[in-house]
Amino acid sequence: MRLEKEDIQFIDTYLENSDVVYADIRMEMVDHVASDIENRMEAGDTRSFYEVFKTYMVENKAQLLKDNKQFLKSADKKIWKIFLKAFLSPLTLLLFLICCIGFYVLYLNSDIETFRLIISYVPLIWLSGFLLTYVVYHKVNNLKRFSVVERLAFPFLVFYQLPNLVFNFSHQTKDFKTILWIIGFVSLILTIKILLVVISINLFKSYEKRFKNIA
Amino acid sequence: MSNSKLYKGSLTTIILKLLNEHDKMYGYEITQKVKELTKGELKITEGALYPALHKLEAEGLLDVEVAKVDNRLRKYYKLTETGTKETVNKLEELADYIKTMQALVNPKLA
Repeated sequence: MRLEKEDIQFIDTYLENSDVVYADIRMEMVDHVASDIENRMEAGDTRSFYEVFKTYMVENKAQLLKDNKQFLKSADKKIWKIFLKAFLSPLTLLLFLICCIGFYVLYLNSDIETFRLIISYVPLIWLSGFLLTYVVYHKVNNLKRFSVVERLAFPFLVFYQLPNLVFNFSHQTKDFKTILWIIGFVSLILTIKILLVVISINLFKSYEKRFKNIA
Repeated sequence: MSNSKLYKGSLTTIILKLLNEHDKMYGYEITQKVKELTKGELKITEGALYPALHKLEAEGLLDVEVAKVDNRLRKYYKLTETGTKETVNKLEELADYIKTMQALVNPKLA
């Protein structure tokens, strides 16, 4: 006994309306629910799909929604693992040094106000980077919402807010040592943001490959 | 199953062992296989299974393949090379554990 396409769509829509918004998480849940319903029908349940589905949901909906939270926790763990791996690579150190040198050269060749203005825009520029990546892959390529990619928005926001805190404490300083600390800090933030954009693009690509090559 | 807590620590080993014996498996298939092999004594809930599968995937022990089956997408899990090696370690650990427990509860058999 195999469920019809409309039945599968019904399960998918039901789960989406129950806040299982990410396509990758929902996909696995839909298959699990559909397999169990098929199993029940094969075992002799002669009721219609809708009736068996209703029984299944009465028995398992609470657990399914709990699972959704577990899925999201796994997605968050996955993000941090990917990020840490990328962050600890020698290329990241090189990128950080390039950023430091770039900002130092900027400091030497511009007045303090211009320098301050430019570095204050760094977080905003890279938040836009993530948003642009997201819009291009999500809207233009018409991809569904995927858990790990969207959960990346949180670290992006954290690293967007952090520099603002530092600027608030140090925006009047002209002390050279403090300027060097600011350069180091902004370079680190910029490095992290570049890493996050690269990670986002790679994740989008892997999802695209995984889901679009299916006949 | 009367005391599923006793099995909780072995879930990873159970999953790895099953995947070692099959080329690839999907979540529901794993739950059914365990139920069948243990004659219904052990029922793995999806709440325990999927987080464990995702953890193993994140650790690089499992690889994932998505295929269209029966009008829907299905996520298959299979062992990576590291996963295959880890399965051997986990099974050895479990065998040692069983031996130790046997020595404790039934010294004559140990």
